[in-house]
Amino acid sequence: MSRVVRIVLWTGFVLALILVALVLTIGPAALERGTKAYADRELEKRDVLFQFPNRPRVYWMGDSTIAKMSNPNPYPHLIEAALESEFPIESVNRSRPGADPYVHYMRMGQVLKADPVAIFIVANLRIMRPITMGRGILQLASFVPRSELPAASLLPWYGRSTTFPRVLLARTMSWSPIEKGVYTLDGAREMFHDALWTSKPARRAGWRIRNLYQAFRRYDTPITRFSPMVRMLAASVRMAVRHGVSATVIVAPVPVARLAKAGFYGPQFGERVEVLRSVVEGAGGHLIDLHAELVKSEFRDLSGHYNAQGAAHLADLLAPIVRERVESGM
Amino acid sequence: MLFNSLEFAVFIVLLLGLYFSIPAPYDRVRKLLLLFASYLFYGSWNPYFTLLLLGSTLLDFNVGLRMAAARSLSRRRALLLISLAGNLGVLGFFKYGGFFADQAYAIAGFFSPGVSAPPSWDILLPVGISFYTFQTLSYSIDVYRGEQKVCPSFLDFALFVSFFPQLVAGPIVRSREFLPQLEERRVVLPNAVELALVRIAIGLFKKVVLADTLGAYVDVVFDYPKSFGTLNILLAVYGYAYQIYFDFSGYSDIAIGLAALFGFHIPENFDRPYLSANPREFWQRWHISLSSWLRDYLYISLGGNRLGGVRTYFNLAVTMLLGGLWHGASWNFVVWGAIHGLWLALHRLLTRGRAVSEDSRARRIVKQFLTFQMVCFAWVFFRAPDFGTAAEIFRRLFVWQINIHSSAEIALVCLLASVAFHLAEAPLPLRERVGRLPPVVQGVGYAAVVVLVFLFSSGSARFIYFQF
Repeated sequence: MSRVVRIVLWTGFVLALILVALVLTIGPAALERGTKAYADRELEKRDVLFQFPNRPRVYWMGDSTIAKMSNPNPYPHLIEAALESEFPIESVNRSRPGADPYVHYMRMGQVLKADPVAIFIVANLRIMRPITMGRGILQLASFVPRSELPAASLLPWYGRSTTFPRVLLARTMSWSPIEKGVYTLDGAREMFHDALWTSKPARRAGWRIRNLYQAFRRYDTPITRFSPMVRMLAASVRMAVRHGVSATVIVAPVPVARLAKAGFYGPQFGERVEVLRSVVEGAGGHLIDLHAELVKSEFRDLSGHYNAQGAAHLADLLAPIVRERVESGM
Repeated sequence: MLFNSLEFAVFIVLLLGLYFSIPAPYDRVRKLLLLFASYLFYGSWNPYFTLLLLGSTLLDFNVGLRMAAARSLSRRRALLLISLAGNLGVLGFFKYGGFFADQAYAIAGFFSPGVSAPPSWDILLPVGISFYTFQTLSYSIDVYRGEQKVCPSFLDFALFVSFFPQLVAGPIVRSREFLPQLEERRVVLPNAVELALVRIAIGLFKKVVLADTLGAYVDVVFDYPKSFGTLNILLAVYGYAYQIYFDFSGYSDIAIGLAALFGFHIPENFDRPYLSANPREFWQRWHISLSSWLRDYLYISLGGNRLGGVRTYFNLAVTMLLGGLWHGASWNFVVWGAIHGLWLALHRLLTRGRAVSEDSRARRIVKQFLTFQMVCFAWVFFRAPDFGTAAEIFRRLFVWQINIHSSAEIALVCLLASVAFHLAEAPLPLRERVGRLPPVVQGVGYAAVVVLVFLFSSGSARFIYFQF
């Protein structure tokens, strides 16, 4: 037997021993850890028990500005309540903090399986720059429909620090036993990283917003129709429209007054919205520009989260539009 | 695809299987497969940029053919200019367009305060463009100089340009080193496979375990230097020196090992650079493929040392300045290049006319230490995002600040391991020693590397030199 073959065999043997040792010692803890990290994925796979299965379904895909976990009463639910008596609908709000057009694109396949009549996607000017975190991609990559894969190969996956082969691999591995194995290994890696970097402040320092300049700067991201986030937004809209579902992009309100005072707001914001409009409408969708809709007193922080007053304002504004979209989609 | 990613592992296993399932006499089919795989590899980042790669390949292939057929020197020169303009034009647009536009508007704004800056160009930099552009240029220049015979096969030439192991971050391979390997049938011996696997394992260990771990600490310190005291800053400065070395040399190790699996030899790119005792030696050991490219195609073209003392220093300075600019469109890189240029010129001036004598061990160690400090000083400009951060780094280095961050322990252990690893490579490279170990020991080593690479992976870290 050649040396190379013997080396490979010994490597495999030792790896198997290490794997067995890991499973016996930290397996359950690693699985629990890894499964939590894939919470979004588990949520998507779970059969959704719709509260009102006979009502027209409106899906909301947004970020922390309308996610249930970051808002006591987000406006999608206020809209549902407002239309209850005259035009009952079911608002399904699957928004997640940090969700960006890549996440919306990957989740769109699952959303369309739920037969919505209309989809509303929140586009936040604050998260238009490419993101260097690539890990979150694999959690949702396998939800990209098979029919979308050829077009998906041309999408700008580098905007989320990943590649199409990685997306494809994640999709290929979406078989329960393999997924559980991946969750476990990932959980073990997370535990190792936590043990390695026992002092969190060094990592947290990288995430903490140090001053207003950094908070405002994120809003001022130049975009063109070729920017990765814009292209993914267009791809999300196109996917929905191809399946016969109306897709409306809402440009989320930003704290214009404070941005203007700090010197970050100007005509460029309107230009960027027009870029989004041309791209979204070109993909067959609609766009509603609310970026300057709210006043300072309707925000609760610099990250663009609304308070109760702001949410109510937006609900009043959007309720008739939601009704119109649902009526035209039925 | 990153070399340390699962999808690349799947890619390479499938490719090796397909490649060796093709009988050796069908070498053309094997080359076609490698070409297809290389374009697939490059297209995984952005499929549209494969058009740029193809364009550069078509340009220089045709320039080479026409140069060989040209009868007059003026025609050959014109063709060379076309190649230079085409390749440097594309490189200039994608890499430096925004930078030069910003400088032009800054200058215009100085003279006319009412001039406002245009919107940002927002041009995506194609991965590896600096590397493959220099590679194809070396072919055109060598053909022009008569040092390289023209390549008649488009398949061979396209594979030379796009060969995936060294496509995105080097080593920059010369046509005269690679094209002859495509003309002959390559045989892959078991011993070569063994050495290749050792090389790849060492490269992965350097990149994922050492470089990325150091990088996690270095990034935070360079992002927020005001939060850290002198010792933390010092740890980050030394840490970056080893981070960039292990990141880049690790990539080169993997590239060389991967090429060897297919029977190709790619030249070495590093030779224990932090054991250098002077700047000249450093540049003979660091990023060898780039420094030799700059020497052969820029420094010598400018006249080298043939035109007298002052002109020699000028040529040296220009070469290093442009070498700095090659790394990125930022004044930081220019300053880094200028520091090395000045240092090289000073070293040349001080050692000119002196007989070369062997240093004593103690003297050499002192010189190595001082050279390393100077290299680290220059790295601060290379790494810092702007001059303000670089200034803050230096201020905190030379003005004692007490704030020892507790997360420095891991970085310190990693730095000590890095220094030990680097020293262990002298006098014999580690790969040669590991390759002689019994299979069971190597098996344990490989298993350990696989486990460590998996545990230390963060999923988002990239190779530093991909941005160049």
